[in-house]
Amino acid sequence: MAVVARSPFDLVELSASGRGSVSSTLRDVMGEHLPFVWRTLRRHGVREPDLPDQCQEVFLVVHRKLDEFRGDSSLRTWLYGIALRVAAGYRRKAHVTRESPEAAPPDSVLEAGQEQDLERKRALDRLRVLLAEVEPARREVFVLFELEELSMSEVAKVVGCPLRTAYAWYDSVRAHVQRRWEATP
Amino acid sequence: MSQEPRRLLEETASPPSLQAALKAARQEGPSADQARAVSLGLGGLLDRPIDLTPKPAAASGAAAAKIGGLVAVVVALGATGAYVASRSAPAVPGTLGAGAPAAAREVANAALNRASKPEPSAAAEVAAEAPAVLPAASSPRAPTSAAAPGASSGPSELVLLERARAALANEPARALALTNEHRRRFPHGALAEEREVIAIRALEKLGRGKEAAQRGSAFEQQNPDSIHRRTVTEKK
Repeated sequence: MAVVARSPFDLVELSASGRGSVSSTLRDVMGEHLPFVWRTLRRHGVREPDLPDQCQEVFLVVHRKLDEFRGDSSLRTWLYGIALRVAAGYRRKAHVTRESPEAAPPDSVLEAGQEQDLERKRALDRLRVLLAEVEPARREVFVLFELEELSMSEVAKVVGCPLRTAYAWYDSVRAHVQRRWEATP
Repeated sequence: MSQEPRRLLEETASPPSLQAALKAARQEGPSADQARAVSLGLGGLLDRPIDLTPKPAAASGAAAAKIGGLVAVVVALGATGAYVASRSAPAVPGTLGAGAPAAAREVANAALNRASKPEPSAAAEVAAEAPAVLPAASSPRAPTSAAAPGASSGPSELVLLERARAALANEPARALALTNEHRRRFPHGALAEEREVIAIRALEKLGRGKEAAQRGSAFEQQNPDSIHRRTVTEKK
């Protein structure tokens, strides 16, 4: 008998438990994971105006490739793999090279009084600058563990490095971020 | 090495401003309107039941095993520099990430629920035209068709090119050797373009400008639509 998951968290738990079949809808998966997919695509070169289309692409692939979801990785790491493939395909497309970065719309304009949003944006920009100083693979380890909250074993698996290396890379980026954050107030 | 390190955000000793930045980064995501735009193209697929029951390995083993290797590869160099350049999603309160509280996630769900639904036939058309998953890149665990025979032993594409990139500044000869190894083992790897960019830079650093120019021209001819084309051109 099918077990209906009330949330994608349930999906993973039910999948892991091997209890019957697990049914849900793409809407449920999107509701839970769209921000994660969005951030992943953007981090891997998809420009802001193209993010909705590329996110659609990811979830279309999810729908088409459900037969390949084995449950031996979490839904998030599976989605992550798909998102990276979509981002790679996007970067190869001609329009990406022809469009200038200026073609992207400006960031949302903050109205007067939105001090909190402004502070938040500044903090995010500052963090991005620090992370941009780091080698891409190390940065990815840090982002996936620290910000996306994957387990370190998941991180090592998706980045394709030994677990020990993932630990070391995380530690080095973490130290870099702490050091630079305090040095550049 | 079984204990997870404590995350920076959980360290009470971290500066509050850094914690705020990390927290904000965790919560980035599409605005309600952007989430709605995503859902529009999915139309009738959104509410169609899907089965996420784990499948037998025989049915899908290769695809599932590919994930680790693939993910590794795309990370490497293609998106270098995109991190800072990428723009933030509009700072709309409530557009939170997967790790956000359930109440926050409801905003995104609500946006999805508000989305109008195109005709199912149109959605099916979109799905049918969606490209298949790109070939996964190779790794020791996940050799693919992109890899040359024997590529399953030795470092993955990611590791090879990461080493090459790291060597570029001070050891261009080593960087070039690593790209040659990559070309031999992964002639059609997912990061073939990135490999060429590194190789061209390495040749330039070694004072082999003519070879760099030739390789740059070949790159342009073979990859006219590459995102790296401008970089290669500028270097010539």
